[in-house]
Amino acid sequence: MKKRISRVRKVTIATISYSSFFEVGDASAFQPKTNAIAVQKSGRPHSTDKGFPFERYSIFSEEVQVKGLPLTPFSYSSNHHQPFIDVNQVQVLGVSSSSLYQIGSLNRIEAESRIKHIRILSPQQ
Amino acid sequence: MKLEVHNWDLQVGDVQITGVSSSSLFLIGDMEEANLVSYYDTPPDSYIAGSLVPLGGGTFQR
Repeated sequence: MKKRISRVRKVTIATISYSSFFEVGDASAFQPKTNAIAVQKSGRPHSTDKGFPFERYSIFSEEVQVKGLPLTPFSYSSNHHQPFIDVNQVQVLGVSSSSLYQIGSLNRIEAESRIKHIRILSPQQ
Repeated sequence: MKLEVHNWDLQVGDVQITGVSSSSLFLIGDMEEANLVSYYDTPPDSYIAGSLVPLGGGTFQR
């Protein structure tokens, strides 16, 4: 497939974090993965505090089959009558957790993020 | 099935985005295939925004 040229006059990004990317230009494939455990615990840290290994939580090992839509055989043709995609200005506050912001063309992206939140509250809460 | 796409002039003004997060994509360009997967596990507590205010001045017990 023929790709167009993307032209952006001005870009502002505040933050990029956790397996994320800002790409200017063309790319073939992007395959980021994030595993995260976010723990909020009330009270002070204690010497008996144990870590939080990923193996303990099934969310990080479960394989859920993501099936695409059944493909109907078809012929596809795209005709670009103008070789450019023009954008004046883009402002992004954050790009996070296996995400991508790209100016340019891409063949394939396979992104995955698994995030578990844990809250440990003291009894009076 | 025969799909024929004609891309004419594409011009965009200003774009403002707060966040692109958890296997998301913001692309200015052409692409062939996207496969974006996100698993999220959060306790119900985190869906409560702000504090609970008891009506009528009574005490509220969780």
